Amino acid sequence: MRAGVIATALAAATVAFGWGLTAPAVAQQYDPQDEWQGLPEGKGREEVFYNCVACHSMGTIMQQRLSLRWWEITIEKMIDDMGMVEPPDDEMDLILDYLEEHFGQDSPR
Amino acid sequence: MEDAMTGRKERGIHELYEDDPERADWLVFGRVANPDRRGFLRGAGLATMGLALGSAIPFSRNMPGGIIPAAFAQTPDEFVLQGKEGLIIRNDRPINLETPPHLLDPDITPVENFFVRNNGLVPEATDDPDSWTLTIDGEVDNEITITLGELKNEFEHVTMQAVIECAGNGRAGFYPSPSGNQWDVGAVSNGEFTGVRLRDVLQRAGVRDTAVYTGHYGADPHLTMEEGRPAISRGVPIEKAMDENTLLIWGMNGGDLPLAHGFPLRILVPGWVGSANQKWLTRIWIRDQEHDGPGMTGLSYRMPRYPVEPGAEVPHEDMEVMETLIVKSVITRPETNSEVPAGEPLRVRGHAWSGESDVENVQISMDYGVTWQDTDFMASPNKYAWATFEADVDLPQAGYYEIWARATDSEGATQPMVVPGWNPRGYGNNSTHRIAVKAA
Repeated sequence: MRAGVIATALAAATVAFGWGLTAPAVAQQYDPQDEWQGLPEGKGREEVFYNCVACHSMGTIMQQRLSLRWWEITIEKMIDDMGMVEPPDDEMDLILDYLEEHFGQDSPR
Repeated sequence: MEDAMTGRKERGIHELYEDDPERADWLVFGRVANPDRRGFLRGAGLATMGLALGSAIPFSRNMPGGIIPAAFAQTPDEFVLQGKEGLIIRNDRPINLETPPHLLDPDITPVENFFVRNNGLVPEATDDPDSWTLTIDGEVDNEITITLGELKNEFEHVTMQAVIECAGNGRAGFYPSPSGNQWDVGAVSNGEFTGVRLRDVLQRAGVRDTAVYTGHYGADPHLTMEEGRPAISRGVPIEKAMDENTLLIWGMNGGDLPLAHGFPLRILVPGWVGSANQKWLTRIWIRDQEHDGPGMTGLSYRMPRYPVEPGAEVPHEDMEVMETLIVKSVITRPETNSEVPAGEPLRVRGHAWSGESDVENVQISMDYGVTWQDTDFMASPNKYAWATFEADVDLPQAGYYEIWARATDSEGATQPMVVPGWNPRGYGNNSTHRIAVKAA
């Protein structure tokens, strides 16, 4: 799974770089009142929201700024220890890509 | 309130739930409205809400989702979300609230300003606290189950102040950012607690020579709401459990422990990381080995045995359990970003603490650490309480200043001016607290 994820992330990064896109300048804030609790719009948002919201708020996620590797470690822990149902590979890729793009190590706070 | 660092408006937690009571149900009780929208209390949610009310809820299926029972509104002390205005909401499921430094100014932190760190959901609020039971089992001659009423009646009472600080306080300062609540400096408070010595109770059970460690269990449901699964279960070496200052507490700041802080019974392990102080305490398992409950293994509440580079993946077997807090201080007056008159003395105040050591002095700097001046330093009222420092500083001309504070303890340890050693979960950041003032 890991190789697939990294390949996907690299592809996404290449595309983004090629088009001159950059991360949004201002971080989106956790907003309990919002339909998505403040999760920024983007591919993978639904998958992140519905896989995580059963146990914790999006505030848990939106505080973090983790590398792809640490997001992988975190989700592995959720699956191994916290009763998260392991998503199919394509869904997992969407989740990790979304997390890395919006809440990556160097995403704005 | 406004977060001084980000300029962002923070909303009081109670305000949130007035706006969206259905969400409040989910956050606190794990109660989910059923698809027909007439409301249904699922699993632990039903039991929790019923127990919080002190009775079962007839017609619960008909109870509309999102209605906070009126009983809560009439008993604010028993409802965890009330009376916590002014705190920064780091998260609300689980509930994690940080205190802005200026609200830490009183020597004893008022309940409404006391930070909150939860790993799981808030459990039932019993309406019969004296019948709450604590079981002590494992490496003891006599397994005992004792009620809170018996604890109050049969053992000598002790009241003392103590700092409670989350091990991850200051985590937001690390880079790369470790996962966890992104606490700034305010996952710490100082309370006055009343209870009995744990050792007196352990002596009644008869601790065996084979006892090595305690394992603490509470009534808070796991975030998954899995029946019987502890949200967290940490412990301490038996020597610390037998220390005269380790208490079983039911009182805080002259009243009962509030629900958010463990009502009706909590263990107080002063000077040690916050998670040792299990809330809603139901059981202490005396172990013949280091406890291995959730929060004792892997990366949680553990530090590498050796220095590691930032971002390192440390094998779990190379991590060791965190024990005591370390020397630290916080500036509580003035509030950061205050505008103050130039040419007049400015009163600076704050608090300092250290785990098993005593704070010996606190110095402040107005010039980015080039020079330091001593403060008037009032020793803490008892070991494990924080000490208070005060100083008058001169701001000779208009402009932007930073005030830095650093405490030194009886072991000679002092606070670093930069973030100390990176570790996988971001513990132990005791770097110098800095605030800004503008003299005009």
